[in-house]
Amino acid sequence: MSGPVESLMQGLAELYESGKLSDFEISCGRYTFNVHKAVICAQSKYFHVPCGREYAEGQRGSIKLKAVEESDDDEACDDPEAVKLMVQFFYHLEYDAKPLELMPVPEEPLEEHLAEAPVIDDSVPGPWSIHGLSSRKRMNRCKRCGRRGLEEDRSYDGTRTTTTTSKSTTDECKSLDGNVVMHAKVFAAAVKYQVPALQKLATSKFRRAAEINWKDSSFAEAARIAYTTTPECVRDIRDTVVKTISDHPILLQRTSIESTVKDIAALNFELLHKAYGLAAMAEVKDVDEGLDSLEYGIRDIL
Amino acid sequence: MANGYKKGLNGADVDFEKTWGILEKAFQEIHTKNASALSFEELYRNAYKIVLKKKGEELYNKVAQFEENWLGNNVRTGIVKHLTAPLMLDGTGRTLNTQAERREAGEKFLKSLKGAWEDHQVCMGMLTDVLMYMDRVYCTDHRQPSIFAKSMGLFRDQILRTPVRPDSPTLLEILTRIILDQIQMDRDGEAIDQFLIKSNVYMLEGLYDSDQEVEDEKLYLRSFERVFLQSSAAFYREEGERLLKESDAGTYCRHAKRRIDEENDRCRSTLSEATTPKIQRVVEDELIRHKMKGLIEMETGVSFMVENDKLHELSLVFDLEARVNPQKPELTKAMQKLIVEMGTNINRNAVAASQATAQPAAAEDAADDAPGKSKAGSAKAINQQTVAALKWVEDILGLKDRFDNICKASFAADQTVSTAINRSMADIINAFSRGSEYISLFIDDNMKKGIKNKSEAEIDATLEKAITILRYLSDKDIFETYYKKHLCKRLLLNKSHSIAVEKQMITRMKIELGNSFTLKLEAMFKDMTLSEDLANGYRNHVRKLGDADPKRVDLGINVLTAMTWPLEAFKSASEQEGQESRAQVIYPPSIDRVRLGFERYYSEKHSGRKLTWQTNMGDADIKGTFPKSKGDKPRTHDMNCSTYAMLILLLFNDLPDGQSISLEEIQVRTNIPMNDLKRNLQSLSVAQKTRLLVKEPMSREINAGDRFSFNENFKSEFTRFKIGVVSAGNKVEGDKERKETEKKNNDSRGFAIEAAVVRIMKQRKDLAHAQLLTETITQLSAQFKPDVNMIKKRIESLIEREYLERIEEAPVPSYRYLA
Repeated sequence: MSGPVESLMQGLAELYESGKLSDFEISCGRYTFNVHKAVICAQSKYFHVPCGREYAEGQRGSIKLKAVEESDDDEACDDPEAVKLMVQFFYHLEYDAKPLELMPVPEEPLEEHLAEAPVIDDSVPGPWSIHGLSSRKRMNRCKRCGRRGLEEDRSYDGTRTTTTTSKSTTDECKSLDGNVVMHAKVFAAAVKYQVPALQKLATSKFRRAAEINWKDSSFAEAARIAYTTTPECVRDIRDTVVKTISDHPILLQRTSIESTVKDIAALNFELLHKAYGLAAMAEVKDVDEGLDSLEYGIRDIL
Repeated sequence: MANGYKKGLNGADVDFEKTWGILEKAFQEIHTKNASALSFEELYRNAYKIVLKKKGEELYNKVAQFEENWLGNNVRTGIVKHLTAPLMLDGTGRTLNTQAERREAGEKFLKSLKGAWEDHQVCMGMLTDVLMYMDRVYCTDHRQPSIFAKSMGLFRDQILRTPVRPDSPTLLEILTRIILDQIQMDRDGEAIDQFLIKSNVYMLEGLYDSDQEVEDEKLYLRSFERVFLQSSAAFYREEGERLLKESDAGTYCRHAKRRIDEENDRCRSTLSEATTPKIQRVVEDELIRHKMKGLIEMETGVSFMVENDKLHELSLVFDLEARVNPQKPELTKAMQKLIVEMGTNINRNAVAASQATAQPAAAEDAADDAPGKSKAGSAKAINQQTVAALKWVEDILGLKDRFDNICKASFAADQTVSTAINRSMADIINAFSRGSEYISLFIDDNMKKGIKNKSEAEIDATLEKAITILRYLSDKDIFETYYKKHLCKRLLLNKSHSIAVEKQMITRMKIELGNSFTLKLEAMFKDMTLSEDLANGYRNHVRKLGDADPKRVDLGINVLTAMTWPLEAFKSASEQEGQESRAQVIYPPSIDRVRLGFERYYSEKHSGRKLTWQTNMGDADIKGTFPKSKGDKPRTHDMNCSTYAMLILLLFNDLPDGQSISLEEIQVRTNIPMNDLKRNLQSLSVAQKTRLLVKEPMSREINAGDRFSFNENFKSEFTRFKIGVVSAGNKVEGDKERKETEKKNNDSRGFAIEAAVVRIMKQRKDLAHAQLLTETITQLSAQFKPDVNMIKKRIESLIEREYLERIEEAPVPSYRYLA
């Protein structure tokens, strides 16, 4: 780590871990993060406002992002894990999603796809290892972060523990970064808090994860998140959902997918659109405004 | 939109109302500057939730509605309150209140509007923060203006464009009027709160004519600026007219400049920089562009400034016009007019002076003291003309210097103006028909007398003057004719003060007018040098012959190439008529021997050349011995006289004492043309100081039958003297001479034109008439400006002589060269 970029990155990581010179606090659910206004405002337009003086947050020097677990939660609230990853991103320009929890075994074995499923070798660098870190190193850092989070956690909720390392090693098949649900949530947070870089990163992570874990039952949940917590005009992960389902039509036989698709009219329409081989949704919007009304009309019928 | 979601229509609506309720309450707080207790997270989250649930449009409309109500109900009333009586117009469009009252009330109003605008900006900034997600998702996706832009439009419509009450002007109109009123106060020198106005201008600049926010449809440009420019134009138009009437040109210039600077400053401090070029244009139009003519023609205008050497004020005028037009047409025109006026005056004076024969001659040219009464009169007149010529040249140069100086000192040596000045100078110089002659005379006079006792630098300056004025002359060929004539006399009569300076002049002319121009002049100098060598050679030759005859006449000779020298310069006009084949003068043997000797010597050196003796141009040194008068020794005098005079005097050598010869006899024995004979006899027998002969009867005129005898009693206080001959110097031509010169000049121009035409046609073979004309004029422009009619005549003549033919079938008149 010798270049100026690397030095800066290291410096940021140290500032974050030590909490030195922190001038603002973000909390969500059981997490509290001591952050630096300059760092977060540089990446998110949203945080400009609470870091300013106009509102109560500015006066207090802290913001509490309402978490899903709390009462009268809805789609507008945040998963504290996603917020944690966002903050992690602010300082590392990278984040590690916790691997998937073991989901109930798929209803039916999907032989065809199991055969196709890529074999994940831990020794092969994961998709996020673009920074040249080996998986092992990444793991270590992940542990550190986790621990830091946990220390704070205990004050809130001592009962929660993590088994990060053991799980990821025991279940190599559910790859490290293959958490489609979490990527979808991070993506939604990135859109909500206006962090374009994170939005991009989460999109690519989601795409990779969907390629690997499309058969996991969590995919239905991810699809739902994509369609309920992100705006229609932000196509990034919606397109991936549609593509994954139409690449693997067998998914539609699954009850979890079935109910999701049935519930979400937009997904419904986009799949239909795709099935007829029409242009991708984003292009439609750009190219032909006239179709806009038509599209609404069709959706109304659906 | 139909609903495909689980929650159902009603559920979502209920939810929306509740969420909007939270937001509305918060917005209320924000607008009453009470936001510090609000949680941004909560507001943002709620707005986010509404948009997530696809209620972006409803939210947008609700916010807009909220703002509209707020502006219309709360803000507007607050501002209208400040519209106090002094700001409202009465029926005649004027307020009845004093300026101070108006200013104070205006400032209150401006302040309240400024406050409202700034509050609105701040609040909408905060709302935008809360609605960030809506702006991004809903507005972008549905091509709606951002909520901020929308609310600015609402401000415009609710505050500025709504009439204060029915049938009264809108706040925008009132605002415009108040600002204009304050600016007027500023122009009148009263202090105003510039920043306050600027704040309101910021507002107008931040608002647009429509919700599309087209950049050049800012409210400022659309509503305020236009009115501002109109009213300013009216103001300056009136002010300019008043100043032209009431003040002087210098003050006007200073005032105009100050006004422009003021408006500049005003744009910076009070209005908008974007207006600077436009208001500049208005002020320039009204105070300069439309007034320039009036300003220049003021009593204290440009001609007054030139006359009184007000260089600084001229520079102010220049600066003003340069500002509006790089060509400076009005000033240029004025300057040209002045030059033409002053130049025409000089020309007129020169003509008047040359014609004022009755005036006593100021010249001290007593050496040419004319023997005859009428001759004396005409000689004086001729002197008068020379003086006029010198004065003309000096005046013209003075004029040029004066305007050059103005151009340099006041017009920053501007190219356009100086070109125009030069053009006008050329016009007036060429408008004067005697220009060529006068310039040559000026040089002549300086060569003979002017440069005596002058330093090299002064001589240089004099030569430069001549060249300067020569540069303007278009008829260079005429000048050449005169110069040759004058130079010829200077060289042959040894009148030139310094041959070195003469040569310097030629060199300068060569640089200025080109090689071909000086070719013949240089040939003249060459002839002079060759002749000197020749005369020396001959003298040596004679010495070697061993003929040590002390009585032998010494010969000095100038052999002149016939084509180069304008020998007719020595003939008087009357002489030239019908005397082309002048009979050979009869020489006495002593002279004839020398003549024949030289002719032999010359033909040995240059075979095949014919020498023609120009006796009329020669002079002779003779020694005269006079019998002693009572008690004195015999006196001898060295005299210099013309060759003719020598021939006449030699006749008396052979004449017994007391005898006399008649005029006719002299004529027969010498064969001197009668005219020259008379003139020479006049100087020998009439002029007081050189009366070597006695004439009978004594009268001033030489008449047929007069008899002459040797004047034994001649006395002179000088041992050496010169016997002058009437009118040998270079004088202004008489009318006859001038006509002659003109005719000759036209002839030589005719030849030059023919030569040019033939040259062109030889090269081009076929050429259209118009093109031939242009090319001919171009070719000849270095020498003179050919007259088109003359060219046509020459072409006709060339066709007659079968150099050219018309091309019959050509669509335009054309000619063909015939080899």
